[in-house]
Amino acid sequence: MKTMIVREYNTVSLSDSYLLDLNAYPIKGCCGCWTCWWKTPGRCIHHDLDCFYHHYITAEKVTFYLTVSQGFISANLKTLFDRMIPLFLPYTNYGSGESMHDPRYERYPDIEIFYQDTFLNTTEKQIFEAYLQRTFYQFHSKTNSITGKMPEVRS
Amino acid sequence: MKTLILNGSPRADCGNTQLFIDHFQSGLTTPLPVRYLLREKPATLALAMNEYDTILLVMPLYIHAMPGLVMKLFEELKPQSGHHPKIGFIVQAGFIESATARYLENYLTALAYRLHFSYLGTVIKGDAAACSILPHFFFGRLFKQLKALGVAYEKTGSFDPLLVKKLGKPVCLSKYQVRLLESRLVNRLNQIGWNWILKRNGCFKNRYDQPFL
Ligand SMILES: Cc1cc2nc3c(=O)[nH]c(=O)nc-3n(C[C@H](O)[C@H](O)[C@H](O)COP(=O)(O)O)c2cc1C
Repeated sequence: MKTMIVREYNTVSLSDSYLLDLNAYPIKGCCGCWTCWWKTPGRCIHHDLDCFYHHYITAEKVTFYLTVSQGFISANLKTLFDRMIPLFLPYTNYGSGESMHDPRYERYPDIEIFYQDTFLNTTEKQIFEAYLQRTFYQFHSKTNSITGKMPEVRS
Repeated sequence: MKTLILNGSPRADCGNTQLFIDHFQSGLTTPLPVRYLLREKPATLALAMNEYDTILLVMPLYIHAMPGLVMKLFEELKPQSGHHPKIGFIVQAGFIESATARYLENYLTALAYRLHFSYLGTVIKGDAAACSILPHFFFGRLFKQLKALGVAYEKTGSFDPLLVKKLGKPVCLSKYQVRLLESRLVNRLNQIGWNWILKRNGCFKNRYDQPFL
């Protein structure tokens, strides 16, 4: 099974799995130009994620190891999500009862998420988990699990 | 009351967010200062925010939440001690129904609490993606409502709840709206806009490309 890892903590990596280490890789921001929909369908004007796009779209499963930042996902991960818009079509369908962009590819990977639980309260945690569920639903992926763990404290 | 408007769009003053700000400002007797997240370092802006007692952050919805650029600013903010400045948000989006911004609205409420800001609320307006593309008369009613929001803000220092409700409609699509939008005719009409742009850019035949397989 082809897999991929996107990580903000942990040192996991698998020899046959593509790794995107968000700590070492600041992603260029989406500039809202719509080139990826209007001029070069499916391709962003920035090329820093070309390798990621290929591995993401051909993986069967993507595992995320996330940190919590200001009670939400980090700015770098949010930037990655913004930059995933070329993986979908501009056309909108309403079949599910709400607006949703059509898929560009036949299939998208299943998602598994682990995160370091540093929330101030359960409301923040619910918002974070609901947001991730929703995002991957809109990305036409199935979220298999979202698991929070308290970070280990080293003495 | 000293208010700062922040524009959180990656398109800065060339996009729909700027139109929202302009029409809001047209309801004020004295325009408010505007700063752009795209043009300044998040740390600089975070510091500048301390000089104001109210912040209005206007932004587009990006993947059901704030653009990455806005999250960069949020990461720089520290909990307020002593006085509790106010913060309010105006979010405009492409999808018709405002419910898609609920995830962001919930987070913004929690963020204000986390940082000890006094929360003015979040105004959400969907179906706004074509504001800066189509002729302005298509959006006459929206622009009037934004101006009225500005008038009310200057008077009360808050968002008029009636206007917030109006701008947020529809919250969800009704069964009738879904049937209409899914109908062949409306579906074709919706695609015309995209296809016209794709044809004008000479890439209509590439519209279904899958470059990363
Ligand atoms: C990367 C990206 C992601 C977007 N995600 C959403 C979304 O999740 N929901 C939505 O309704 N609109 C979404 N939009 C549409 C924008 O919110 C809309 O076009 C907005 O008017 C852009 O404002 P601006 O011109 O000020 O940047 C997205 C646009 C971009 C570029």
